[in-house]
Amino acid sequence: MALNNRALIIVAGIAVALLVLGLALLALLVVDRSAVQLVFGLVLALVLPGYLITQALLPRSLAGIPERIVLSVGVSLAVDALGGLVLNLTPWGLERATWSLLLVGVSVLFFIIAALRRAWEMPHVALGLSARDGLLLLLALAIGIVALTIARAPAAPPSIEGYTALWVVPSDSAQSPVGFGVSSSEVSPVEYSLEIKVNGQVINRAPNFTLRPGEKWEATLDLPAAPAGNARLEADLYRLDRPQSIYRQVVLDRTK
Amino acid sequence: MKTDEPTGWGWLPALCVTASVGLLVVALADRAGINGEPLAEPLFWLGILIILTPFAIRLLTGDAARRERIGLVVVLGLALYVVKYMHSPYAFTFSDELIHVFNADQTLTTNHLFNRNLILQITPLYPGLQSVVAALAALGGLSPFDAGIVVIGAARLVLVLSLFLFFEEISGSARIAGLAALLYMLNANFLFWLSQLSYQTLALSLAALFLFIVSRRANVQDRSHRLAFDAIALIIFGAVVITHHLTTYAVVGFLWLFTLLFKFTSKGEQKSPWILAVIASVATLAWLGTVARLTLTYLLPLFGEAFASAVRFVTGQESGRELFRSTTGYLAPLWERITGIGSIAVILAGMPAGLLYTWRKYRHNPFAVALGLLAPTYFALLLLRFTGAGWEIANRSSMFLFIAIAFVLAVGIVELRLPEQAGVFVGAGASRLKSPYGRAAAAVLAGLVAFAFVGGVIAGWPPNDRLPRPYVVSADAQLLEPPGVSAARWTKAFLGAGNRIASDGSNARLLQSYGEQRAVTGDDLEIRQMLTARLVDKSVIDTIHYHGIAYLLFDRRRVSGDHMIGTFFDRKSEVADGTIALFDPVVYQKFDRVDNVNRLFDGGNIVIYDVRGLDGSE
Repeated sequence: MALNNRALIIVAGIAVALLVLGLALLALLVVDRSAVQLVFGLVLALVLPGYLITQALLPRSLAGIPERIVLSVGVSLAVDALGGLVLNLTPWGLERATWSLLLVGVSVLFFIIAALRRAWEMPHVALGLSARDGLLLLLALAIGIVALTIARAPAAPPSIEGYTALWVVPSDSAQSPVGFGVSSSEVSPVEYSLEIKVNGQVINRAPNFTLRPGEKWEATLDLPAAPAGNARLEADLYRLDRPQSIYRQVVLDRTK
Repeated sequence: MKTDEPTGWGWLPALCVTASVGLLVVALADRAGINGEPLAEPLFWLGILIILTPFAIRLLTGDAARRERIGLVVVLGLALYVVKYMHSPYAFTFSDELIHVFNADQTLTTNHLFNRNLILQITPLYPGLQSVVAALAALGGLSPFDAGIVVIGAARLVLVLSLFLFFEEISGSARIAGLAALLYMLNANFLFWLSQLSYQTLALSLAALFLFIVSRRANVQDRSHRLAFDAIALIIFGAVVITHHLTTYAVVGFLWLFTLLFKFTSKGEQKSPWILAVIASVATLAWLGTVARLTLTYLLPLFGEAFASAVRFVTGQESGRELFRSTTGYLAPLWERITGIGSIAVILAGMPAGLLYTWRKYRHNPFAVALGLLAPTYFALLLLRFTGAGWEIANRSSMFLFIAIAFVLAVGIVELRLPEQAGVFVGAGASRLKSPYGRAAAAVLAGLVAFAFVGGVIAGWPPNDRLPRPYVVSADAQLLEPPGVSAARWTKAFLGAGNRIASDGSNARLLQSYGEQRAVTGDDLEIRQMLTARLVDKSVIDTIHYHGIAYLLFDRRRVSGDHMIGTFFDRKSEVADGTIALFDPVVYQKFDRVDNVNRLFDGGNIVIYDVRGLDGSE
């Protein structure tokens, strides 16, 4: 449909701008991280600016459907890249709101230009897919989904070497409580014991504890006053299924 | 009016099914690869061949419609992108990806560009990619990983479709265009390198689109229409300039070559792109001079050393690099070496005919002549692969030069009418591809294309990196992350962000990306030498003091120095058979014996030391 009244076109452009901005605000404020926001983001970042710029500038005879597809996406990518530079110069920077304003603004501007140039006639598109083609595409989609599902499945534990992490959180003074932690990324539950030593003397043994994969154990210990200028705090973690050797070890050395 | 010109989708729907089956086989190969099963490698190649070969056969034949050829090129390009996505579907794991996703993450955190990246300092000075990823992440509510996957997928679509349209504009033939776009995929970097989240990936796609617009513009007679193309071309080139240095320079080089050749080859119907060449050169120099001055100190030593290495090699002062041997000493198996070299031979064999017919048919087309001139330089640059410092330049240049190679080869194949000639030779009568002989010849040619594709992947991507390794492990209904990622997250949680931490290459990238630390790494800074020293001597302490290092992350596995495979879970079989080799205990325990060094974190292979109290370093 070709519009023939410039004022009407500008009013329509403003109406579209308000509509898109309204959708933007809706996506920003109401449906955060929703499918609507995703679709909005994809269209605004990867399609709309490029499509409207191409529509406004290029005559239909010089750009068919494949050309318009590649220009819609490619020019949108370019606008995003350059738009980031522009937004970087503003005090607000590259925020969701400023991105929305910029890309909606660019889109509306070129929508108006396209409308003024009467560049809205779209070439006739005949999809030309037969029922057989449709079935084949559905089959391809189904197989593709199976492939992606297989690819995204996490690795199975039997072949994997798990690990445990032990840590100590340094404190500012020798008298401050010291925090310890153990996290298990082993592939099965493991039972541990933790032994705390100061200058080689055991001062604390934490009760044995079991961690399942992904679990954490944390504790804070008040340490006795150490001999002045020469304190070496050591925490040794043992696996109870291999108690003969230290499994993990952390050290705070305060030798002066 | 009835026409003989085919118009439908032809084989495309059926080939979508074969591509999906190929992807399914690759997915099974990836599963086998994660578990370290020997079947993984053959399955991977089988899947690749199932994806590629039917498309090659169809694109070689002469009876497909333009829309079908476009569909084939797009589907094949995207299917090969999915191969890379399935390699690491949970997170970016390639070396450069961790650098660029950090940049995007910093943009989302600070709302501004030009944040520092200590590991590859040049990357924030080309903020195009991080800007696009940040835009999509912010607007779509996506994580940087998801946004990056979508952006690079969009870039892949732009790349293959732009190449098709560029080749079609030059040749006037959808068949040559489809074939050339297919042949471009034979370059060693297409499958993995050009599928990764990297500034070059995006820049190359935009550059291909720019070339298409320049070639279309040249045939536009109406001045106002040409101005419209100029405007769009400049928007795209502006994005290329701020996205990647080498791609920008390559595009400017292409532009000046086209401009020069317009003087000598064009009959005058086409319009020279000289004005675009001038503006592009000014924009390039302006960005280089005002924002990205560091580019010179980054690139010049690389090219200088490559040139010096080539001179030393030619004059016999350098023994040269052994082909197909990785930096870790791994030598590719014989079949891979034969395929890698054979693929070059196949491409080389097609060049004489391609160059001849390019000259015969397109000598008045400056774009075609330019591609004809550039194609042989690919083989000259291959010699750099024999040099220690130059092989990477040879490898990277293939992304640009294969645009020329692909066009010339496609012209040769189509103009020689190879499949049709085969039909005639065996007595099939009319040279029609619909004859079984013509189809057989197309299948043989498609086999050669597949062979060259496999050879390219072998030459461009080390064997250890082709198949995924265990990244996310499910145990007891929990998803576990690799040790390096956990350690990096721990640093942020317990030490805070922004600490200066020295580490090996792979863990430094994780520290930067997941721990938001100011990670320091690399041979240039002598970090590797410091980490692998046997004693905490004066040089080690000096390095720590010089770089203001507060913490050290030491990974005792030698593989941690490999940026590509150092970040994964170890497999039990590799630990048992010694494939995961460790440094000498003297090396990885040396900081345990030093006063005032705290051993804060012990994750088994990974240990984090606090060295702030080391001998007056505070």
